[in-house]
Amino acid sequence: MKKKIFTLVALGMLTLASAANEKTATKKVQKAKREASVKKKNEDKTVACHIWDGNNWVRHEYSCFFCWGGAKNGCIAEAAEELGLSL
Amino acid sequence: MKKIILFLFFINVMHSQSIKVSFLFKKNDVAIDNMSLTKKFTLYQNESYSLFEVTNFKDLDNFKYKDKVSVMKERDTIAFYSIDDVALTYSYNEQFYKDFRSGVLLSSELLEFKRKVFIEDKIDMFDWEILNEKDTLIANYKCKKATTKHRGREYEAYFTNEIANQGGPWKFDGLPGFILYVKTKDNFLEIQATEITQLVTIDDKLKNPFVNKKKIPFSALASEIIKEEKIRFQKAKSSATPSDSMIFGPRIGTIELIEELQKERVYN
Repeated sequence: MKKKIFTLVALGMLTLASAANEKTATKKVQKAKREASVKKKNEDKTVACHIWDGNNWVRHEYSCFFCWGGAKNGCIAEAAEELGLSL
Repeated sequence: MKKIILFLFFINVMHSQSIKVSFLFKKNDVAIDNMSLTKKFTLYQNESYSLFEVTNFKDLDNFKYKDKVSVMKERDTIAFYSIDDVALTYSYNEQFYKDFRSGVLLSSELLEFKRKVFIEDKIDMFDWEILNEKDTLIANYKCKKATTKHRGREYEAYFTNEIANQGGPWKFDGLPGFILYVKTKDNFLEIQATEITQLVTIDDKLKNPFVNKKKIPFSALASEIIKEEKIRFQKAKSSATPSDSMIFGPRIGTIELIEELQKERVYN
């Protein structure tokens, strides 16, 4: 009887451990997938924004390379560059 | 009879005198309130000419909220600003010159922050309706009210025949008296006289600043603006971070609205 109970407990523990391992593995795969998609987006990201120039709204597009200061700063920087106002 | 002749002579002498009038020129921005500003202008006028020019275009106090404004670049005759990280604007030495003898009005426009073009209009281009209302007192002068529609906006103006028989701020003119106050019905623009000085002579102030400049009629302004927008897009297209397209929205922020530019212009 004792042997049967021991066997059952051991089997239960093994099953639980195996399931936990599978979950961790799945999470790692999902994380990796997410990282890959972010990286892909960053490669060809183009940001569009609008600048008011006192006369009309002008829609600008610029590379994400300029996003370091936030989208708004990038937009002003791009517009200023186009207009020859950058310092 | 002698008294009447003397009175008419006095009126004539008074009107042939030169005047200097200070104005506050308030423009409420249609898109971003932080860009609203009030500039100071001075008008010099004699019986033949007038010059209306900005006197403090670089003053940051002109802006309604000067703490939102950053100076980007400054030169003698122009200053560029960024406002609240969503707007770019400029302020330059605006001048409006009228030759009453030939009926010509000269002014300038800055296109796409760069190229100045010189515009020629007729002084007598406003179709005024003088209202039969009780006189309004402005700076102790009895004024009559008139209304007009001009290039997309509706205006009401107050004028007096106690200062001069013609003239007014900005491009306004064509009433039987001097215009002391103008506003648009939508409150976009308000121009008011703050100080009036009668002078003996100001001829040195009334030299034409647009001599030897190539002028275009106002009707040619739209095509010049479109030309400049295309140049700007080409520059953006060939930059280190090229733009595939550029869209200019309806041009609604200017005093004079141009019908052709009230729709989007897409460049790609």
